[in-house]
Amino acid sequence: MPDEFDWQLLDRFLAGDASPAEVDQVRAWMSASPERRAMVEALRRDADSRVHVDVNAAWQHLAGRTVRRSRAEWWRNAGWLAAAAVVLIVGSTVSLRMLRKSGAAQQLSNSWQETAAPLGRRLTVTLPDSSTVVLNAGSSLRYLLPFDPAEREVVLRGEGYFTVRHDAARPFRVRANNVNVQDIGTRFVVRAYDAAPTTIVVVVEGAVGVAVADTRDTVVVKPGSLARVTANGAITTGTVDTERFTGFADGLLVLGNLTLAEALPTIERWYDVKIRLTDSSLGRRQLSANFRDEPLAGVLDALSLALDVDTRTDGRDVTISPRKQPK
Amino acid sequence: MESDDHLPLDLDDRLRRGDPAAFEMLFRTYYQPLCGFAARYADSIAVAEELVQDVFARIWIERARWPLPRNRKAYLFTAVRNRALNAGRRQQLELDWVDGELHDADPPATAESAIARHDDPAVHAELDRAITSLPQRCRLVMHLRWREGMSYADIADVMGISVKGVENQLSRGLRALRRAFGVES
Repeated sequence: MPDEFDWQLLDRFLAGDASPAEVDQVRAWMSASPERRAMVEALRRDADSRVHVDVNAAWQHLAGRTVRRSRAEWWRNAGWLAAAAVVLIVGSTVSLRMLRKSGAAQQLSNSWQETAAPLGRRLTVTLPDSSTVVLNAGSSLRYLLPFDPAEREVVLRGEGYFTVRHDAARPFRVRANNVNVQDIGTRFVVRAYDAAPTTIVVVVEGAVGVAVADTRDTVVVKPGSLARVTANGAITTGTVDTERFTGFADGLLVLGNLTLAEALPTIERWYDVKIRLTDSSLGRRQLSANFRDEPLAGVLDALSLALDVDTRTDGRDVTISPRKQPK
Repeated sequence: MESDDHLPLDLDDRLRRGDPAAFEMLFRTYYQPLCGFAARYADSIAVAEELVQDVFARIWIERARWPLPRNRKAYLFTAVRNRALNAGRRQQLELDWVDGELHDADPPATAESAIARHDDPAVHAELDRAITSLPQRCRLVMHLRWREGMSYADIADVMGISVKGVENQLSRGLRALRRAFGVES
């Protein structure tokens, strides 16, 4: 626009979208008359003017109304739940719907509800929509209260066996590590321990969609199948004996086709013990065994026979060492 | 256009999970520009700040339903506009061009001498009056376009008008100013 008035070019110039050649064009146009220059400069002043606000002060003010408040509620909530858990461990079933009706839960609006199975125990959680989750020892489940029935979403750490009240209009989602699991069917296990390199989803009934967070990769997992998702988001699927994964919910400690090193974290959580190997090469020994309602001593006896090791228990500490050969 | 605010990729997810750090980043990134926009609707900066803080407080309360917006910036500006319209008298806040008659921005009082001395900061206010006398809706579109650098499509979303409507506001505004400043052709 040497002399033509081209509003679109002027618009791009003011928005910062103009190419270098276009910028030169506008400059040439402006310099041809004081009126043009005065107009463009007035528009620039208008666009560049800033209102002055104190962002730090504003954040302090807002935080007091929002995040600090929620944190305080969360801690109140967590302390209260821990006390409740101690009382209820004997029955090992907590109905959160029941808890929500009690006075203490009334003030928990819009805060995270977290419930955890202590080490050595499993815990059945009944969600407000009547779906149930059996948490393996040392696992936890978090979700927002009030539980939004239209947006059923929980966050899992560790291992849980879900039995979901299916509702096509209101999908049930589990977030675990880098994986989002969306229920299409009814019964499935999600295993997502922090220390483990992969997250595992096993479907018993119905079907679930397994998606990697931040990508569009989704696979549908059918009954009797499993999906493994690595930390970098690779998904593989296969068929599987689902009982190996669901057994924990019925009190079955499954140590199938594992090395001792792989089995140790499971045993430690199951019995709330710490296990030390005096010789790390022991970790490579292979084992395969299931135990139902077996006390720790029975499991250690079985291990010492099968793996040819000695075990020593001292309170919550267990030491496993190579078998000393009798002289 | 996707959000280009350089916030972490998982910010929306983290916000939904109730991560206070994610909420704070969102706030610090957008508070000032949103206040600048809200000030166009409000009588004072203090009122504008209150309005924007209310929007953020609402976002935190409803964070589980944070909608993973395609464009966070446009979404936040829309929220501020809606809040402003609800808080005020809707009609008064966004006066548009009067149909059927040519709306000319008021020329600067002593146009010729002012323009001749346009490098003098003292005459800026006089020249700026031509801009401030444009219809409010036109000024809001100009603000989103030239201060915030938004695309026509995003501005259309924020203002609840068509892309054609956005173009129309910008071209009418520029033409009116051209007359007010006595720019020939």
